[in-house]
Amino acid sequence: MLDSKRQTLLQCLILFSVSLLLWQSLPVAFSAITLLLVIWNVTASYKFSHRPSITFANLVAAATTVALYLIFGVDELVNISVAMLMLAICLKLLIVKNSKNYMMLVLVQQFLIVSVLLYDQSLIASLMCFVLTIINFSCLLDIHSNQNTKNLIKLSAKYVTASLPLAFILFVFLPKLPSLWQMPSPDNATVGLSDSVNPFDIAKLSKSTDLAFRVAFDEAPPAQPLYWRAMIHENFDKGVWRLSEFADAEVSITNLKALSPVASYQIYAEPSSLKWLYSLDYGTSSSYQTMQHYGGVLSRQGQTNQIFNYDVASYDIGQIESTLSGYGRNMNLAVSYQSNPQITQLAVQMRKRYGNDDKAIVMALRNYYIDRGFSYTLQPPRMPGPNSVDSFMFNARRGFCGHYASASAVFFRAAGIPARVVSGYLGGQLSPNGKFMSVYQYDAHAWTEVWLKGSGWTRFDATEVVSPDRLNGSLSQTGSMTQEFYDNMEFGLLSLSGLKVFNELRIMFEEFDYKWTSWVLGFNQKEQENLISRLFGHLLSWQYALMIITLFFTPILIMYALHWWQRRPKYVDEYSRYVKDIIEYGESFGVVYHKGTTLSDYFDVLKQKQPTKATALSSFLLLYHKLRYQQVLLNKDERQSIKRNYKKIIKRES
Amino acid sequence: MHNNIQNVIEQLSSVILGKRHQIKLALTCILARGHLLIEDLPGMGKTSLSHALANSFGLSYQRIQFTSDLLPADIVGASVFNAKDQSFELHQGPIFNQVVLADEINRAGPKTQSALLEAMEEHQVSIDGQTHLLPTPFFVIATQNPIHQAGTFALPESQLDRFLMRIELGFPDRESERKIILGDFAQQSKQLNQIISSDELLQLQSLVNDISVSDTVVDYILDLVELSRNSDDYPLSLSPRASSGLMQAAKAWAMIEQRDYVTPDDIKAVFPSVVEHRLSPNGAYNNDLSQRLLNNTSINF
Repeated sequence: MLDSKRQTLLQCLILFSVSLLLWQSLPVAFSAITLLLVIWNVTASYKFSHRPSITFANLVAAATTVALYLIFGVDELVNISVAMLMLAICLKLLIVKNSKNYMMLVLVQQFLIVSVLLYDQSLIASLMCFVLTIINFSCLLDIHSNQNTKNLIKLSAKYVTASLPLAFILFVFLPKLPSLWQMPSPDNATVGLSDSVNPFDIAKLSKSTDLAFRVAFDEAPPAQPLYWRAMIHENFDKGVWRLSEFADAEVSITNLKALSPVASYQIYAEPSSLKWLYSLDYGTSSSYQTMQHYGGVLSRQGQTNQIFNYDVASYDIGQIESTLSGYGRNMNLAVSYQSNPQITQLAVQMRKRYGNDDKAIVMALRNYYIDRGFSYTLQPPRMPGPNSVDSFMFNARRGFCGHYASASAVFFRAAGIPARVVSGYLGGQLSPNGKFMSVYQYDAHAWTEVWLKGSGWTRFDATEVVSPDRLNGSLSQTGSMTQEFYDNMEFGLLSLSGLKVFNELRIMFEEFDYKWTSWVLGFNQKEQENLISRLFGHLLSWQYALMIITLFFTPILIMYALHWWQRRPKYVDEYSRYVKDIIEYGESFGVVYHKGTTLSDYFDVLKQKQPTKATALSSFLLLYHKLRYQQVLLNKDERQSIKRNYKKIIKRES
Repeated sequence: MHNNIQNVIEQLSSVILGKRHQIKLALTCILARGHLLIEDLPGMGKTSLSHALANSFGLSYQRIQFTSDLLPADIVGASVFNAKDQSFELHQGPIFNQVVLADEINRAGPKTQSALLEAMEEHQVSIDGQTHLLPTPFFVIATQNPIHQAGTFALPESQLDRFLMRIELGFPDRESERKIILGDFAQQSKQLNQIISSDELLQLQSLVNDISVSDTVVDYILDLVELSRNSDDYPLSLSPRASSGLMQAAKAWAMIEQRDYVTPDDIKAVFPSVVEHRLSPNGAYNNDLSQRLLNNTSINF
């Protein structure tokens, strides 16, 4: 029977797990309210505290609604819906009365569990949702059956697992329709790139070990260094590099068909707060919901809070953008001459020394960094104020990629060479089996691109000069930087990678996570179409519909067939079947067999109804008793006799 | 020897008219080494049945009329000082007989009732610290007035459980009653013969153990008792003493039916008598509970 204490505890466990999973996405104040209500529920179930009356519970509900409004406001539609769902369950759990209430709670709880996937679709979150579903369904089973907790969970796990094949078929074959209405995505603060580069206000670059994206190359990956471009920053103002007003515009590339790509690959981008996607120079994509921008930059359309899977073909940038418009040239030369006088002066000096040779000036800056002993650090001093570039160039001479990219671009612009800052990621860690490359947030990078006559946009990365190791792969592998790198790292699995076991575990988990990302989360409409045409060839729409119906109903039919097979009448031996047949025969004459009637009693009634069969019935019964109760094996004659009598009994006289 | 059992049944049937089934049940009880409780109104032939049983087996017989002032010593006996020998000598009570009829057991107080029931269970009595074995075979027939009659002390469940069977004789049918009132049968004058000796009875009792019971039938017994324990329909559930008693009674019934194996028919025949008083001690369910158990337990063929 229903155990209200167990129900409460299990539901509280689910609520608690969900609030843990959504810890980062929902405000602390809200999580605190939830936690208090959960604690109230638990103490009430142990009778340490009282359950509220209906009136009081309604007052609490009203109070929490006001609190919700104060915490969330009205803009965060998804967050507030999930929060209301959670509070509703907490409060209902306090005043729940009968099994009908519990049933409703379980159903609402299931909504809450699934809503976790709105925020996080990683392997861990999905597994957690699976486990919570099992716990939730064990509550449902508890309403209908009388079992201990262990058995309930076992049974529930069995049922949920048994439903997986059907879920798999639905996932693979059910058409992935675009959502019927626009769902707002939950506001989610994700670490990552920023659409403005402002290195001078940062004293310590805290780096996150979160995954940024994964790449699967169609062929062998190109040689390092791999510069993953995300955004082009062309507006320089008061030490900050911002996107230009044209960055959002879509462009179409006309002469693409004639060219052959340098590299082609597939990227699985993790959720991000920005719409910009990552690609090697010069990136183009044919995937659904991607948008092409000038400079080989890609962005995604729609929500950014889910893993996004897209194809990229990279081309030689010089072949696509071979000219620079007058406007573009002016934009990339704009620099304020009021601030940073020293670097402007240096640039003017260089220009004088090398005349019209832009390439020589680029080389000169490179040598300048080497000669003056510039170094790379993740913990630079702060350089505020209007002349921040000057204080970096002439005082500090220490900084990370942002400083170098920014300073170099200012220098080139002052020298009259069009230059811009590009941000993205550098390097990446190839998986041990070489199938995919992982790029983490700590691989974030910024560099300069300069326009050189004849060769077009050319990359200039000062990090190449001051920290050449950095280019050979991911930052975590850079030898000279290791200690400083770990000092700046948030605590995570990577910070434990010094331990061999942890490192292997981490790599193994990443393998799984990659498979989950590429097979499950990356399984979009296009992949589905590919799979179906690979399996069944090209299908007409009615064939497709037929296939889905077949695939959907076949498992259900199989399940029914299995059920029927298990419930089939089981005969101990053929004599049991004889008895069943005789009873069936008797019932056709209106001699109903009642449960608990012995065979001899039943035969007595049958004899009265069918006097002609009396002898056969008696002989049959005698032998049957001998066989079944006296436990004597029948000899050949007796076996024939019992069979003969059986046939005589069930023979219908016309 | 089996024929002798049939002869006993015939002889008893000529004394107690129209009660063949009850006579067989009483015989079953004695063969299964159990004790018998007969619950019925006065004047239904309880005493005649027990007397006739004792005579047919050639057993010593004593009747104890239970009254509210009956003391335990009145049943088991007492040590009495013999002034001549200057020693205590035992005066055996009526319990020292092979067949004891405890008439109207529920009219005596609980103390006296339990003295009898202890003797039934242990087949021995203690008088002044000395243990005395009771004769074998030892068979108690207790009669009980229906509970609702005045001046009765109902037997508690634990003591009812000591009786293997409870039967009701019931009113005779019209034909039998006609014979009774016309005196067509000579109940008093007819000499009852001893058909089976007490030694033979002991032998028959041990032969009951040899009756074979198939697994199907054992499962049937288990299904019945389990249903009584798992279902909410039954206020009391059946104890292992009940299930083993049921088994023993079914074997004895099979022996009376001249078979050396037990069938579900045997179980059903003895089931209400063995089980009903354990399920509803006060008879509140009008003998329905055992029938309900039988109707709700399927027999596997």
